[in-house]
Amino acid sequence: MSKQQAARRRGVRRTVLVFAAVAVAIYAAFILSGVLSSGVLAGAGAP
Amino acid sequence: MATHYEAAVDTHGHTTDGHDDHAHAQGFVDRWFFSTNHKDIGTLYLLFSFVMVIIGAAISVGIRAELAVPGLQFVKPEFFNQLTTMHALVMIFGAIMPAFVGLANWMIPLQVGAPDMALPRMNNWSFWILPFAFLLLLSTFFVPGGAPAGGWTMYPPLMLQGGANVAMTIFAVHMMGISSIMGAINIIATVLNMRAPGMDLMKMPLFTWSWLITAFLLLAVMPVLAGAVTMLLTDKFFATSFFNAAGGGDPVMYQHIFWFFGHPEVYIMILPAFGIVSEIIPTFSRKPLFGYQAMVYAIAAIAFLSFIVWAHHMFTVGMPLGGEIYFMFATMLISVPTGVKIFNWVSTMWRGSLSFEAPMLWSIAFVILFAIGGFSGLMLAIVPADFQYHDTYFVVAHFHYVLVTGALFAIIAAIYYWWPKWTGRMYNETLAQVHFWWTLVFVNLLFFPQHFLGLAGMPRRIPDYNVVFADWNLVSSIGAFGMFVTPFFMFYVLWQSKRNGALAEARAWEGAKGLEWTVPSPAPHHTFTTPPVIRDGDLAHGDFAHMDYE
Repeated sequence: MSKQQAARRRGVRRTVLVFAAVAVAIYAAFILSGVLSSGVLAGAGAP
Repeated sequence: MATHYEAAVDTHGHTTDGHDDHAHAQGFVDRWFFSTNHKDIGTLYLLFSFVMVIIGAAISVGIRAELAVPGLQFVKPEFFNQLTTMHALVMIFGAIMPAFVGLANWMIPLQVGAPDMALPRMNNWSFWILPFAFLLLLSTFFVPGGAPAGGWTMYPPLMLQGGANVAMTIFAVHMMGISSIMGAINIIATVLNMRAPGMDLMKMPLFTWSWLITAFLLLAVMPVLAGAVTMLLTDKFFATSFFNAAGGGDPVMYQHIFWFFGHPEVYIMILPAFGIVSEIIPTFSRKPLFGYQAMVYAIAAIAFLSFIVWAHHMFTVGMPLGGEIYFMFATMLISVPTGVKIFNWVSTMWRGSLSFEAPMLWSIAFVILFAIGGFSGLMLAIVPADFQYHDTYFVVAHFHYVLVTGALFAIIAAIYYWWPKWTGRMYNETLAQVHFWWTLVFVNLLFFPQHFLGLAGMPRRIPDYNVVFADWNLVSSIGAFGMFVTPFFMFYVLWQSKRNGALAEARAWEGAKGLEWTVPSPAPHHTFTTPPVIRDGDLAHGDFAHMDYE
């Protein structure tokens, strides 16, 4: 594998990890916003 | 003119990379089920999209048959609601989005000089999730309680009143979301890491630019949809109360979260169309694109604005006056970069050496008819007017002008434009023009009268209506029946081209620019395994000070 190919592979791996983490973080953040606003943590869950 | 790709072919027709014939050595199953080739996966996406178009169109014919005359004809009201919901889900997630992803798969590596997508195996996975997602979704027609009937927005509490379809629909939406996110990451990784040396960002073709920005949109909003439907799922099956007012939740919060996804989703379905039209109009105007950099910045501006306007879908739900005024003006702001784009397309054509082959006809129709959808969107952005228009057929007319004469027309333009590159065959221009004019007449018969119906007060998502709406409904239904034959006719045009079409040259269109036109037609199974030498004269856009336009 040439140096250029290795650099390209590292770049692809880094890009994927960063953006996959962003996607998971957004997913988690929106569910967390739902948890906080529905008051579940304050004990106001469904009857 | 010898291209640099042709220069890599020796006098015996062998390519220096020695990989071009791999497709012929593969069996059917290996090639199509385990494919890691961007061109094959692009073809799979496009075929899948075509099947979904047929299913979605068949559902819409059912809807329009029911609405052709007042009274109940063919279906019960609850089944009618299933039809409208499934039509939207199938067309949005099954037809329009996969078609654009298919075009991206085919063209982005060719346009940036990459040998393939950055993650070919994930590319295969992204595609093969989709047929299972849609099998699951469509199978809800056959479960007790039928398919989802609460609209594609899946608002609670209506959505949660569904039967077995709720879990199936939510799982299908999750799978579509995972597929889209993986596809978006793949496109971002490809464009950021796989461009040939010398292919600077500001030299990239507009189609690739539009997809790079679209991929960021997808990445930002598909997890939001996934989060929203996950909360729906737990509300339905795990006794949470995210959106249940009785348990302390808020159903309006779902609407905010959904439209935080839903409005950028609209732009996910139109930005690649902007890119396509920005490729085709310069080709058939035989001029460089007017205002390349402005076009890139306009797409980026539209993408940014799409995140801050979501509540214009919810004016009638109720919000503080300040919120209504903010969302109204923020929405209107989108017309500025959109106007820049339309101005630039028209300016590209201005004093060009125009010719009107099928891709150009579809593109010009796109510019004019999408603008109609844009203008009706501006009308809907006005808060007091929206109170009148909301949930009427005016809204139905608006978004069909954006998504059918906008997104779908651009997809058809792209297929005709790049078809010679994909297959090595030209299509029959006369038949393609018949396809265009037939579609143009019937699509306007179908959707334009819906403006009148909406302004007169006809609500959407109803199987029956007052007799005063009868005439325009009949006209609209005639349009729908005429439209239904068009995908079959297009299939015939392409099938006939594949079998008997004239051989296409590498640069199939005289005015075409871009790296994709430097490889032979049909494009070999593997291209750019050795990075190409970028010559400014080959580029579609960017640094065109050095280009050889006369």
